[in-house]
Amino acid sequence: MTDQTAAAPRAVKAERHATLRRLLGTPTGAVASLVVAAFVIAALAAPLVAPYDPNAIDPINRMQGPSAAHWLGTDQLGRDLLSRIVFGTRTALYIALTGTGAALGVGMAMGMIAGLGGKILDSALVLLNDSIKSLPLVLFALALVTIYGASVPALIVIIAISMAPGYFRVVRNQVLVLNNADFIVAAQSMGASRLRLAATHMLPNLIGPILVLIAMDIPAVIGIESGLSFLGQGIQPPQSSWGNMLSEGYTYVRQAPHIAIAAGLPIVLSTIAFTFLGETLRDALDPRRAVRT
Amino acid sequence: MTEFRLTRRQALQRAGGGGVALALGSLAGTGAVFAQENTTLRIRNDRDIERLDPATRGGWYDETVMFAIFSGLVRYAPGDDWTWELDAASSIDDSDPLHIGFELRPGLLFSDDHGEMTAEDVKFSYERFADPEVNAVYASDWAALDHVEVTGTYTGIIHLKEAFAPLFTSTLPHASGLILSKAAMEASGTKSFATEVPACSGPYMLDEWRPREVIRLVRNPGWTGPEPYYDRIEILPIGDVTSAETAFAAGDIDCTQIAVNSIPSYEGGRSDLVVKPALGYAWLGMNVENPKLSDLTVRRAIQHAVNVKQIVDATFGGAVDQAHGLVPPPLPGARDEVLYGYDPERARELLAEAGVQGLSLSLTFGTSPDLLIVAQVLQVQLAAVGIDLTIRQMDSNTMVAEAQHPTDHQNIELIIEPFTTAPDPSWVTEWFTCDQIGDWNFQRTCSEEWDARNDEALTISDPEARAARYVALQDELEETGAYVFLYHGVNAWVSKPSVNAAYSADAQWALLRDFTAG
Repeated sequence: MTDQTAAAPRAVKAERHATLRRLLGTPTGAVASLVVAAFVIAALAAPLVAPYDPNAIDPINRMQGPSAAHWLGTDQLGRDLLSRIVFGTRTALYIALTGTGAALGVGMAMGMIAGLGGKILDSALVLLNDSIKSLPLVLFALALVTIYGASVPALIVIIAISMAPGYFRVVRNQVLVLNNADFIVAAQSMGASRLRLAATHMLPNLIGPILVLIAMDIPAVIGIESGLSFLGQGIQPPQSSWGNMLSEGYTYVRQAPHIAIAAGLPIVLSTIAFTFLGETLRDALDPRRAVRT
Repeated sequence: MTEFRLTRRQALQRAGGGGVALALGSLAGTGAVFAQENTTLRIRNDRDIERLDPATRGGWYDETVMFAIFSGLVRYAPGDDWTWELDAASSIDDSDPLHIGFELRPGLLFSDDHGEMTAEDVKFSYERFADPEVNAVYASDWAALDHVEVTGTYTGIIHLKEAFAPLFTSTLPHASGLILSKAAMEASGTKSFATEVPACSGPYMLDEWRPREVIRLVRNPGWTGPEPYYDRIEILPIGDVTSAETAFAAGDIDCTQIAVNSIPSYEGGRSDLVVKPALGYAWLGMNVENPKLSDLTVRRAIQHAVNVKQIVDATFGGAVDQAHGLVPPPLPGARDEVLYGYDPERARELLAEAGVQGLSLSLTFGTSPDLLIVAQVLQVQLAAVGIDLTIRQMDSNTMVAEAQHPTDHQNIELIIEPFTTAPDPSWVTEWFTCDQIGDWNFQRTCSEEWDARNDEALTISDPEARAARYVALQDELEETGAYVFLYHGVNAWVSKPSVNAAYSADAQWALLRDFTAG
């Protein structure tokens, strides 16, 4: 008995190590993880990493190309582009993580309720989520921003509402499948409540697919934030945002193309890195799928 | 049915024939070839047309087209000075400031068979500004008009109620002086029109308008004045200046206005670059009816907190000078210094004196990228004296609607809305009267004495006295604390070397009828 209880955590630990090895064992996974880690470190340590105050203007040195003093050059107000990108990373990841987190919370709660709550509740929630999913995202976002104003909380709400149906569908489907699993039936027969079933038995089995979905959604969220900021409806100055920088860079693309290039680079890099990380994570969590594909 | 088949010998013969034809064409001179190529001018307008009626027109984007399809008694001459020249009139007698005589050139025909232009058309065109049914936006241009007396088929006298200094600066040569066909207007059954032009009186006529796509002008066959060079002009409404510059670089358009920040990239290049001081004015306005800004001491502190030179340098990279008032420098009444300049120490003292701490304000402005830069520099400057500035950038129409709304105007704290103007200082000051509260006086400053002196300035005929009056009027506006004067700007255009472009003195309008081949 003692041997069996000790063996279970060891098996989980071994499985986690194997997943991590599979994730970092491929060149794509390793590079994607490295780039994502670099973005996370830049975001967390922005004041230490950025060489200048991102909002300090210097009109005399406006629109300067890359140099030893300013590695990526300066923008139309003479602000250091590298510093603004570093602080923009913080903005992008903050919105991506909080927005995705909020979407996950809402989607998961609704998914669990739909999966465990009976047919009528399930149908109503499916209809609600399908209706939200059918809304054109950009128009929906612009309408909300017009009504409530452009701000970080408004952006997070927009992202949460638009992304929640994705998590709802995954969680609901998983719960419906798990409902008939032997260990769930056994737990039910031993008198486990629905809340206990959801929290103790189902949630651990949902983590894998949800992690993959989060990794795949983060670049989409960065795209939404950048897109709205590009349209002037996202992050408001002076807070730096990749989308704002890209929008300003577009205005001066003929005179100072380095601004648009510098602003576009982190958007492209982060999108590719998070997407590859999500794909590699999916393969790592499900090695049979990796072999099939 | 005959089958078309070409033998190798025939092909060689025809190719040789073509070569001979090309060689002969070259001998005839390249001018002929280029003249043929250049008969269509493709030019950008930064907005689409809205209303082409002289009395209810929209702005410069309408006037650019109107100056090509209508003629007035006189018109602005192309060049660097605000001078006028005869247009539909063969002579003007302005020896008496209250009674202006004119004689039309005979034989000027309206388009669409609406007959010859006569003095009756002039009378109709100018007197309709006072017709309440026309609801003329520019009624003030003809506020001094008593009536137009028709003395012959082509002759008449414009009788004024009082001397009116802007008559030859911003009324007769401007779009309010353009002449419509009385017969065509009566036949149309409407008092005013938007884009359905009843009849054209200029060298061109409106051939086609595809909204947001193209405005096509062709020669007016009835026009007997100086012949314009181009047979056809295609005006492309392209709002985004970067897109317009890209279209120009790709060769899709022959001429476009460019962003001020783009000027250096065209200097010394193959394209013809024209840069002229603009007749415009941008200022930072403060809504005195907003509780946060009702205290003059706070407003004065903001005046002192703003470093206009830094704003202008950051926004335009040295291509534009800072403003010292509302009236642009080429005009009488332009100031050369401000009363309350940059002094951050004084700003802090005044805020302390007013007992204000942690003041948080919003700055509302339209979608211009230039204004976004202005706003960001202002954020930094106001933060330096302890004022937190939030940016509210919105669609210009939405912003104007909010500023004009009876209750929503309270949302406006600081505001920037650049205006363009005509070459007379009266056009600059008329928006800051008590009557304009709820319309264009976003600051809501009001002084009936100021209004009376502003009205009186219209009648001052001595240029120096008139200039001094407008300087004093701007001093008084600055004393209210509700104004920080920012810049007047420049207008910059580029055209292909194959085009000889012509602009008004401030390059606000491309004078399309004066364009020729380069």
